[in-house]
Amino acid sequence: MPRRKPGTLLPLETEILEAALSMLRSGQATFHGFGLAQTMREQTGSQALTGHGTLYKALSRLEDFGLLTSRWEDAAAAEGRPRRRLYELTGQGARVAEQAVADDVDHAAVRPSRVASEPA
Amino acid sequence: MPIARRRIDEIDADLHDHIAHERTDGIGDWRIALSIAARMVRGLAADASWRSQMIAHHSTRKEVTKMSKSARRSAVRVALATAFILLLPLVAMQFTDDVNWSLADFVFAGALLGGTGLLLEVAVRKPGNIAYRAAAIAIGLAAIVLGGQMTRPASRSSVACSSPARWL
Repeated sequence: MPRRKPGTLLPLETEILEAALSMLRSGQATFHGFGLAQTMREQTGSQALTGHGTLYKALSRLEDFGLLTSRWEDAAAAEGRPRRRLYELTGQGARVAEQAVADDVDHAAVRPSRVASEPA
Repeated sequence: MPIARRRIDEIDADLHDHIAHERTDGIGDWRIALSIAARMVRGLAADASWRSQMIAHHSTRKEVTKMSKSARRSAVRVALATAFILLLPLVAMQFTDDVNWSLADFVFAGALLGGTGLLLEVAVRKPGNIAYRAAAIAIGLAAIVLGGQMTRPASRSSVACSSPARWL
């Protein structure tokens, strides 16, 4: 795993936030792990889905940073299948994601996105 | 460990969604099993580091010792079984020209058998988790099919089919 400079996000974390922002803009405020992996695959043009361990560890870190929140799906909505963990961008997460997208547009992706607060 | 439970439930839902999505797209169960296995393998490093962090943060010394003992026993079991199976072609090579494995062949077969064994160990530890069991069984079946290829005598014109690394 790449080393993290203090106050920065890893490329995968930025990618997750950008995918989450893209889903939010298309009217999908909450997302689950597999849906996110699919969106990221489409956005990056990759053939493979992000590994389970990598994806869920990154989601957990983003939650620790206060950029995402999560809750379990209602049992009724699950309709017999395993309940999904639903994630949502926080206000701060949306701001960081917008900044990351703007950085990409400015071809400044080499400069890592700033995180406002560090995890405890 | 509620955080670990949450991770397991989350991956369980993910696997369910993954299988359902691929089946809807008309993808065969073999390819689905392989793509799930590849995805698991790609996330192994991150998962292992997360597990060690969780164990360090949430477990007592006694629990850590118990878990590491159990993991060590599993690893030894898998290693012994793999070594025993690999001995078969090694012995066969001494008696017949139909079996002709290179070092790469042994490494390939060892990785396949070891990976299958580890997945089966995980599946046994999580008996209630259908997704893990399905992935382990699918990969186990793949190993058996490949194993069948291994033991089939090569044709006179080619010894390639008795060499596992060349099947891919």
